[in-house]
Amino acid sequence: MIVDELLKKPGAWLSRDDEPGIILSSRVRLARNVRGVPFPAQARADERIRSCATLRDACNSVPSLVHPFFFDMGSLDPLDKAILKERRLISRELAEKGEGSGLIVAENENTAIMINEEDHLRLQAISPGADILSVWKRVDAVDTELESKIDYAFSPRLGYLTSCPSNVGTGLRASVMLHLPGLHLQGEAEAVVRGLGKIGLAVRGLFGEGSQAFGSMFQVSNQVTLGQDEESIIKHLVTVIEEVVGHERNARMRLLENRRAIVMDKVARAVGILAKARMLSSGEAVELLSMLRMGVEFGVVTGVRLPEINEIMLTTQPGHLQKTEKQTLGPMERDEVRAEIVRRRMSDLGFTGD
Amino acid sequence: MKCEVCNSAEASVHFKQVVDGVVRELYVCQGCAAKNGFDVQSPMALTDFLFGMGVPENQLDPSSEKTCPSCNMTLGQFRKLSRLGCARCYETFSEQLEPVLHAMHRSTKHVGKMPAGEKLTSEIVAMQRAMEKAVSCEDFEEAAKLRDVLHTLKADSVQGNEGGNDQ
Repeated sequence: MIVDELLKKPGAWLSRDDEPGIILSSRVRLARNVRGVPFPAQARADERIRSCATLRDACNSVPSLVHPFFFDMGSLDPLDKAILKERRLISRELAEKGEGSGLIVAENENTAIMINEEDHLRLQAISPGADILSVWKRVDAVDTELESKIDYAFSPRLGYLTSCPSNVGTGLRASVMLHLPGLHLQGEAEAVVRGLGKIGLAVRGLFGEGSQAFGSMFQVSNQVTLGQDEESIIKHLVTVIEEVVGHERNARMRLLENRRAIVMDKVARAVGILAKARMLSSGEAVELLSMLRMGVEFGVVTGVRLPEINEIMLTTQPGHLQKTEKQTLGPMERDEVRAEIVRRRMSDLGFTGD
Repeated sequence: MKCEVCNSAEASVHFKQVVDGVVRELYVCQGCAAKNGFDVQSPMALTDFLFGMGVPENQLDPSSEKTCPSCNMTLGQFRKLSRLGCARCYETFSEQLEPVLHAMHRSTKHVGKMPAGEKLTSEIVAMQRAMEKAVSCEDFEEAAKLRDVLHTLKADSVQGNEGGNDQ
């Protein structure tokens, strides 16, 4: 499999069904290290290359990783790495690595293992929608299969030992991606984000850097990994997320009742720009697609399904865009090509902007 | 109260660390907190902050600096990177780590999944302790019961190890 093969499929984290909408996807990752081997950052280059090969072989023989494929960070070009990043298979940190680091990914992309990122292994599973418990079970199964092949660095007192003390213990980070346009438009998103921070959850924008969240999309995850078992961490996250989803539903209801004209205006403008624009930055595209998504979820837009919006969102990311166009493009050219692709897709769907 | 770092501005951020019953407190101002990259939202920043605040750089004697015997990471490097070099570092720098772990996780003890081999080992240790206790209380009936369970566990453990070698 080469990266090009991935482009034929939607990303594993983006739904192919008409999901209810608020919870976009659920993800769990486990940090693991090998006993007696220095963590990647402290290892010499030759040690990293050797351990990467050993770990690759071990991961390749795990039965629950179906048809695994290995990507070597030393031989992928930056564009291929960008695509893996946009498909949420690798982190920025892994993308910056070269030989001695890699990614093993199952054919269906729902389970993957990063090798020699910050830790020797980062086992990760992802599914669309609110499915965190079964995602945890999937990654737990891979971990249990791997532990018979790899002697994990583990201390009875501190649990799984990790490069950063913020991951020690369970090594588990569970995260849920949320689309919260209702709270956003009601001006309540910030308060909710602050509240989540106070109860030990981390929140960041799904697109864009730092605290700037494009398209009202947020990623919420646990911070504590020590002193709570896996199920408790996940249950806590699930309970809180259910509450946030409740707030979002409530906000949407109030919006439609009291500010219907504003909602209709936002959605209509989004449709108009998406159908007519000649230049679209990726931030603006995400922002407008978020409004279109909201329109579909509110039932005020018909003729387009959520999976189609997901697909446009993924294929207009910078890496995917350039790979499809088979050329490296500057930011200005990308914006032009992006607008063209979106215009074509919108026209295919019957949105002419008139 | 004045900031304990710059000693001029009013302190508005309060750190409290309890390690083995000893309470360590630190009051800093917003400016010093920001300058040291402190951000309540980020556990990473909290590590960096806590590592950076404890002892001033110039008080560290490089010749006597604590170094991990396994990966050669020094205390200075560890504080700068706020990442450990290897699993052994957790023992080497345990003194510096305790308050950090406590601040981050409100705990310093793992509960949850453990590798199958480890689980068996910890069960054996617990059973051994219980048996010794039963003996010291002269509850020989209970001790004999525990001894039998222990035998089974140890047999499982040996089998498990052999199974591991096959793979």
